[in-house]
Amino acid sequence: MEKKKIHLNDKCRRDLCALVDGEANDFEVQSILTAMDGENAREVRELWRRYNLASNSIRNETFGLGFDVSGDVVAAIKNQPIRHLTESNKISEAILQFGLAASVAVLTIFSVQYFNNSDMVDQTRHNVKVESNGVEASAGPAAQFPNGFKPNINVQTVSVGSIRKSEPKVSLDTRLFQDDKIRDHIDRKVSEYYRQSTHIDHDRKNRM
Amino acid sequence: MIDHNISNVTDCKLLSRAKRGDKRAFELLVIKYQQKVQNSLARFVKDRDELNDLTQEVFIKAYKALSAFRGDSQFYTWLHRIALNTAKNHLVARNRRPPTSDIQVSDAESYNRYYQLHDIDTPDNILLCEQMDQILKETISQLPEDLRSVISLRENQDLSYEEIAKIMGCPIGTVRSRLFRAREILDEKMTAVLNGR
Repeated sequence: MEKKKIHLNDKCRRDLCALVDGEANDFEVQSILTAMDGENAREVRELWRRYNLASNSIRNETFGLGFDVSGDVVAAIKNQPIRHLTESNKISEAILQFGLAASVAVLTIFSVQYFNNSDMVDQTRHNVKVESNGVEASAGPAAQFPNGFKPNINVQTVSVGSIRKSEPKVSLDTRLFQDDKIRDHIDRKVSEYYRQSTHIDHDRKNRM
Repeated sequence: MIDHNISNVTDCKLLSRAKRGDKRAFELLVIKYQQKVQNSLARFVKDRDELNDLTQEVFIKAYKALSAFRGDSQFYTWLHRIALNTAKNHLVARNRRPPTSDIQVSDAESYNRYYQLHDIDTPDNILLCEQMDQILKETISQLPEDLRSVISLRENQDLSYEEIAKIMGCPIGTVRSRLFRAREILDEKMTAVLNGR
């Protein structure tokens, strides 16, 4: 097929050259775009393509003819709108971003509180353990309970803040007394105490 | 980091118009980048029709999502990412395995200068490309000194007209004029090769 040779005017060629170089001003860009609708439309596109091919060759970039899809792409996007962010979309996006930021903040706060609480539970257990060790060491009656006696201690949750800031007020944890081993231990100690006190009384009577 | 090279300046000018709905501006970007996009896609598909369809799909997707492009990266980097995702989705949809590693933009440039399309393109076209590339290089080496200098400073050093003018010690208008003359000589050679096929 013989190609119809159409010569672009010098001005248009110069504008295209400047556009390839990133030096075309707004008027020149507009002039090129207008020429794309005119009788030289095809030549404008072909010259633009050749200028860019030459540029690629000089820069040692990808060089090839491939196939021209520009016509098909333009036909496909002819009635395609660009997805613009409308005002309502912008507002929803802002709300979404705010919500996301708030969620992260809340999650962070809860995480910190959770880990601090875990830490304090361990501390409380440690304190109670020390007390129970104390019971074992003193083996005094004040800290011991008769066999079968189940202490009904009102347990109040201890806030982390109160433990940290105020003087230590550690409530006994009922879980300690619900533990069979500990209850057995207390029972054993109480029995032992009574046995010892009986012996002491008996010795006293003998001395007297 | 935004790259302020000359190519990026051209892209930004065309993109701002394309975003306002000027399809001709977008068409110029398609013409400019279609070879590179095809080169990136040719790593994934080896069928000419598939490659053609995918190339179109990449540009259509890019056009629809233009408002999402904020210019934080170069336009081609963004386009390259769309091309990779499109190709991968295409392969997955056809129960074919995409390559395990991505090809970087810079690698895509040097992957094969004469195309991944070697496997797809006709032998005539491949030969033509190689011929044209060779002729362009010879023509540049034969250009008069003043033209060869400006085209080299512009294309290889990526300098602006103003910077070239300072180096050459001449007005910006002269730089502009010399560059135009150099490009015209190169284009004349290219056209002769293309028409001779």
